[in-house]
Amino acid sequence: MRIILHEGKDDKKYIKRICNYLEIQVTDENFYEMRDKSTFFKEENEIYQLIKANSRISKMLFVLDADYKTNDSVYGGCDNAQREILKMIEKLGLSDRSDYYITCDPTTKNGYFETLFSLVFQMI
Amino acid sequence: MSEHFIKNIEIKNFKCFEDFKAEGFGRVNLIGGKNNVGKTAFMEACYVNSSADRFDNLLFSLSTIERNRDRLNIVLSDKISIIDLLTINGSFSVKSINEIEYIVKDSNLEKSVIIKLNGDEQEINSTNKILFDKNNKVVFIDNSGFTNFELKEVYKEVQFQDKDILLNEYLQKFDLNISTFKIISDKPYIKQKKSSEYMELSKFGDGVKQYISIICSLYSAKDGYLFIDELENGIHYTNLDKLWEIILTISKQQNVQVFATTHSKECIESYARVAKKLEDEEETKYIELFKDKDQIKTMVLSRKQLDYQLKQNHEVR
Repeated sequence: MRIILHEGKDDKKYIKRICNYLEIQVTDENFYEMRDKSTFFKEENEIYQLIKANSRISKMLFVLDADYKTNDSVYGGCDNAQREILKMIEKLGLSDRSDYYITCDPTTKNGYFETLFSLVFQMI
Repeated sequence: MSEHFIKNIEIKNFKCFEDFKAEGFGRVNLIGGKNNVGKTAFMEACYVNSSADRFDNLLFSLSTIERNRDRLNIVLSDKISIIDLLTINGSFSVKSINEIEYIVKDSNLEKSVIIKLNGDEQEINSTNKILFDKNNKVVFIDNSGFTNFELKEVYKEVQFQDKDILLNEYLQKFDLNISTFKIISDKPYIKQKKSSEYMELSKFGDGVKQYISIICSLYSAKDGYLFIDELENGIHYTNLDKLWEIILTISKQQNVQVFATTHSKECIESYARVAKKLEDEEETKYIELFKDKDQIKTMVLSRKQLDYQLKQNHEVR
């Protein structure tokens, strides 16, 4: 089973819409809501323990917002978020079966899922 | 958590388990998973292990699980010998609070069993006198429920502990029309509030009997273990919260470790809800069994993790 770890309920809706557009079949089983971005960086959280215990999970995708570097010098902005999530994936021992996607404006490298979506809609 | 509780288990060649390990059990453990994944067999392994204080207790528990699976009736009707009965499942080992190694030898001349239990060894063959004795601190309610004899046995402890009034109060919560439960001349009876006469328990639904069996067993298994196969049998989902509240409360008071299987999502949801309400976080676990590449595997979830799985609409049965 492949799973997607995401921040909140809206992110799940966005990802489901993208999957539907790409004709990738997903169910609720494929989604693990982390509730907020900070949970991604807590190694001992219950959700990570659950995922590590579930041998049926073969691959996982971490999807999180970049947010703004000016608001958070450690986890804010695409580069910081990328560096920190890579560190966390390695700490969890999941590097060989994980990938990640930081949602933001690809030019400024700041923002959220919504920022990316609005840019895509402008292009369309 | 109490010292005597099963915290982990290692099962080899027992029924559908080839090589299986699990850990992290709590005081109350609900077991779920799809059909034929081994929920009952897992519980039977725990039952056999926790029963095995002595050789005769171990042999009693093994014969009980055969009877529960309705094999004993078949083998007795064929007039099979006890040694044939004890060798029916072949060799196995179950290691937890007791270390059991059960070796079946089947030569041309005769069948025998070598049992290694916590370092001691005993050989059983057709010439031995075989002793069976029930470990009274371990109770198993199979999926067809108790016989009147079994119910009478566990009810004794309710009387010894002067819990008759409390049992009736619990029953009245389950069904407002019930007034009193009693065993008279070896038969269980119920008196309803609107009537002055006792009626046989068999005249009532299976849910009432299951409810009474579970409550009495919790008292009977004081400082021991209770195993319930298909806990929700006969019980309407609206009564599950009341039942779980009783199980979580009495098991704590009586220091009983509980293992129960279920197929019902309502039963799992009720379990998570009541454990949260009673703030029984640390000692309530959900054990999910599943098959992964033909191997039986398990996930032991905390109450919080179970709650998360249910909220995410993940399949937990």
